[in-house]
Parts: sequence; C-alpha cells; structure tokens
Amino acid sequence: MILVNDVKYHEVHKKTLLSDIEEYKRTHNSRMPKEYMGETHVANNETYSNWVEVKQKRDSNLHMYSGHLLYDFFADKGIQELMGKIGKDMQMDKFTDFDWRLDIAWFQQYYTNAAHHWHNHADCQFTNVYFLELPNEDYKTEIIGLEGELLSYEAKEGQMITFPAYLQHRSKPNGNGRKTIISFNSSYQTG
Amino acid sequence: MQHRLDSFYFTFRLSNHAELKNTLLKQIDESEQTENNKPKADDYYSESITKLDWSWSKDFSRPWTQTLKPFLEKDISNEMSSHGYKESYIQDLWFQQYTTGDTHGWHIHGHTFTGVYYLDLPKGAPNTQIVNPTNQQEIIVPDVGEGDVLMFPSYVIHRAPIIKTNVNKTIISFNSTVNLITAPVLEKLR
Repeated sequence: MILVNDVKYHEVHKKTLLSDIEEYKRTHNSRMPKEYMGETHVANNETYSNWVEVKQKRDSNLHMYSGHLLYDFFADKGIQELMGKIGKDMQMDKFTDFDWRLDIAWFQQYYTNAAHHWHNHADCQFTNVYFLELPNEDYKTEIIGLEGELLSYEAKEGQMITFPAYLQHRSKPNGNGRKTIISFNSSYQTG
Repeated sequence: MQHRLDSFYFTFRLSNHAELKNTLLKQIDESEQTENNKPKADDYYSESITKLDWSWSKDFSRPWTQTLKPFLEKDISNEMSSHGYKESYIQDLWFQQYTTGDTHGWHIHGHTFTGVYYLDLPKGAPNTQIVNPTNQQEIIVPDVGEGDVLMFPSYVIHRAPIIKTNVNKTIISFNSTVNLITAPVLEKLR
C-alpha cells in the first residue's frame, strides 16, 4: 500500500519552504551525522523537543509549536484536506468519524551522493514523504515489502507518498541535483 | 506464515500458554487495577466490556503483566525478526474480559502494530473480526484459537463481536512498534 497524492499549491510551498530551509540551515547546525553519507541537512532533532512539549497541550492535531519551521505548511487547509482525503481513501470513516494526527515532521535535503540508509519509522501508523524538490525521479524514496522485495510506484516532484510506517525504506545515494523532502509520521484515530 | 501487504495479519502461538494460563487468569481476578466499560446513553459506538485495565496499560508493574511480558516479548521478537525487524517493543498492555452480551465496536489503535493474545477463548466465544485494508468490503475472521497471538497494523479496523452464548472470554491486547532492519535482510539488499 503506497498512496501517491498531489500536494495542492506545490509551487507556493516549494518557494516558501526552500527559503525557510535556507534560513534554518544558516542559523542551525543541521548537518546529519557521517553515517548518513554525503552532504545532507536535516532538522528533526531540533524540532523533536518542541514537538513533545506541544503534544502535551493537545490543542490541535498538529502537536507542533507555531514557530516550527513547518508549522504553516501543516496548518495549510490544503494539507489538512489532503490528510483527510487519505484517511477516506483508507475508509477510516467506514464505521465512525475519524481524525488524523501529525506525530513528528522534518525536512531532509540531499546533495550529490547524500543518502539515508534503510530504516522504518517507529511508533506511528504511517510514513509520509512530500517530494519538495525531486529533479530526477530515479532518486525518489525506495521502499521494500516484508520479504525484501522492492515495491514499485511512480511519483514526481510535488507529490506525497504515504505508506505503512513499518515498511523499510531509504534514500539511495543521490545523483546530481539537490533533492529536498518533507517527511512526517501520521496516525489516524476513529470514534 | 505470511506477512505481505496483501496478507496483512499474522498469527503465532504463545510458547508458554499452557503453563501461564491459570496463573494469569488468577492474577487478573485478583487485580486491584480494573475498571468496566459498560454502555452509557451517549456512547458514540457500541462498547460493553465487563472488566479491563486499559487505564493502566503503560504500568508494567501489574502482577499479571510481570508474569506475561517477558514471554510475550520474546515470542514477538522472534516473530518480528522473521519479518526482518531487529527490535520490537510493547508500549501498551491490557486485558479485556467479556461476558454474555459484551462487545467492543469497530476501532483502530495507535502506535504501529495491534496485538491480541487469546488467553481464554472457550467454544462459542467469537473471534476478532478485521477489515481488509486493501478491500474494505471484506471482513475477515482470522483462524485463531486459545493460546494464539494475532497481530496486524494498528490502522486496521477491527472489533470484538457480541458474545451471544453463555461464555466468558479473556484477551490480552497490546500495542507495539518495530525498529531497525536485521542483518540478513540488509545483506540481501546489498
């Protein structure tokens, strides 16, 4: 199950988020550890502690402080509608109402040869990857099934993929041309 | 034993079920941390559970959890290892006891995997029903018996149907997650 959806107003998000990411990189040490290979920037550690703090307030499904780099993106009506659509596509509304919850979100930016090894996302239902910059679709996220088989799907810049969080996936060593993704964990609740 | 995207649930037998059953049922009977979940007038969905301890699901000092958790963790770990996961964790663990007329309506869980261990499943007690996430018109009743553990992704909609006969049913429910890839799978991917 790999769902592929267009992100509404992609060009607007791209312009805004890339600008914000540049500013973030300028003011934070966001380079990933060596084991991730190559020149990669990520913002998850910085955001995690804030996420925990806001989660306790339970004042929205975002669980994210309003100053978060990605807050405006997730607060956008289009993204809220898209997450609702994905829930309906999975028929979460089959028997009761449902809601979705953002567990944690971050960006990752890959330069030539940068990579993120095989991993899965723990403690949530779904992994989501929004391809903010994907100059070459050959370098989109690779996902394997539970018998190690590579799962086939098509996606391009401006689209978001959603798949079960237990599935192992990776960003293989990137080619020329910067790749930027917004990654986040989400869960649904019913009743 | 399959666990592919098109066969989304899996079952295995708890290795020490026979020796643990009576101890666990006794400890549950004697447990002081229990509640009930009988229907209220404003209930959104049907739920009637005679005795449970969901409110203490993260407290692993409860006597019955101390008895079960090491065995359950070991079996889950073995099972998840066969699916390529190096680590697995139980995050919530609670029992639910159903008597005649009891039911738990359609719902999903948080975390990553939902698990059900059938501690006491007499003849006539209905099995868990789950909705196939890839074909939501299909409702599946996994072939499980007492002593079995059923696991499926936490976003899979499921329910405990109403007990229509004069029997009691006790299940142990748990939420779990997995992490890291095993060396054999990594080697296969190189």
